[in-house]
Amino acid sequence: MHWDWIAQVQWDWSFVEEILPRLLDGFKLTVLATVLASALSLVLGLAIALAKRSPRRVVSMPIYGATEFIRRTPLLVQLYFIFYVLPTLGITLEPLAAGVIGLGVHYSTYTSEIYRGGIDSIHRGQWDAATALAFPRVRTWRNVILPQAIPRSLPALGNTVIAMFKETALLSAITVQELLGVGREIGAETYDTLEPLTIAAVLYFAVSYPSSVLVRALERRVAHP
Amino acid sequence: MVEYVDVCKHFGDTMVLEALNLSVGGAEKLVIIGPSGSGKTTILRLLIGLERPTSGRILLEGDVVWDEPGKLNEQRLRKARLRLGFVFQQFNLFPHMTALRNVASGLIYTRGMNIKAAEERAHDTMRLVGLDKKAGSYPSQLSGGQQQRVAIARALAMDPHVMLFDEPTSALDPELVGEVLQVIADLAHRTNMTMLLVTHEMRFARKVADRIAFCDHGRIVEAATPERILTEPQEERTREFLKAVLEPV
Repeated sequence: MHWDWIAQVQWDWSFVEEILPRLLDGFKLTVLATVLASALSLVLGLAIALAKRSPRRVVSMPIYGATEFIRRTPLLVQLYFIFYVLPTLGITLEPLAAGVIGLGVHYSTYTSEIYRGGIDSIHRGQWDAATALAFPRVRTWRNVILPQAIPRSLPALGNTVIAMFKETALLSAITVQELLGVGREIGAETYDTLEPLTIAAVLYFAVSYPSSVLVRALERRVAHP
Repeated sequence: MVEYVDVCKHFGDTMVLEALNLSVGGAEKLVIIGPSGSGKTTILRLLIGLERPTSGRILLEGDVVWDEPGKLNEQRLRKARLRLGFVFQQFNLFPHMTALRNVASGLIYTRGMNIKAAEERAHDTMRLVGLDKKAGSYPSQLSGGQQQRVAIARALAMDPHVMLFDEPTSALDPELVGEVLQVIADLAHRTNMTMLLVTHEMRFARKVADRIAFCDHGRIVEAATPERILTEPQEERTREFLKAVLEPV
């Protein structure tokens, strides 16, 4: 067994004590970015899903084009574009705003597919009944379809929020002082990356894992009401 | 009351209705029988605009529902739907609403009635089908027969001029069929509503129908009073069908 390398690991608890407050400040920003970007992607995703169903090609075609493009390019490229390229076109955004918009819009292409799946899973008969009763379209959506489609979509949407939480790490590339960004900064300043990055990883895990357990429980509840 | 004039319906390459002509009088109870795939369900679905005819005209109380060349006219369809009630084979109740809210749904969402008034009306309608005690139950808590009776109440609550029943008991366990047929028979005997029923229940058809129409391969082969059609069918195909249905073994 080649475990010699373990002896080279020098974990310094006093260093941990020193850097923890900074890391937690970064973590707060991680959480904030997650909440904002999730809210954006949950709302925008629904709007996209509905717009894609529009019989008017003028509405649905550009949306299809834009979402395909966004989904087939890396999020990191999109973040760089928003933060570094848009200013040359006259649009300058704060790092956090750029990060939230980039992350939120990117993931709204995924949430829209989740909503679409939820909506498509609604039995045709529900539409037939609403039509036969002459419900106005808005009422059919608001009172028949969405109240059934959204609960079904919640587990997949929950998993998407968890994924976004982890992806906030990418925001460090556009100078957002979130958890990873702070961790790397500490590492660059002190030449000691072990504690900062390990703590960062532990913090990500500490939120991700229980969240995914909750989502699985939600999945079971939705499947067997 | 209801007129189908030379109505054709294709689904892709399949011709489901072929130059269908049918006239239903006011207050008439017309039962449509025939083999599966003969187009019976499509006849009902066209009237309420759940399908669009390939060609032909359909009129309800003299107003055009569908006209050549079969262009979608939302206004005409809406006007028709307000005078029609549809009962589906699969009930199609809204699972996230109580039975009462299901029955009131048309009054609330289509007519814009306030919820309290609508639910009162709905409660009365549920009494008509014998389910006022189940007002607070959800569809999943009801038997198939109860669900279908709620569905009937939901359609009735809108005071339709014409009620359409698409094989209302075909999805039910045999012992639950009777309670639903009883409700429909009551409606037929007590009201002046025009009714179009698609069903396989021959004894029920005989009891309730003013006329029975035999539909095969997308056409009405013949239509006559129950006694006439069941004892002296004029057409060969009608005879064959009735023989197979009435004496299966």
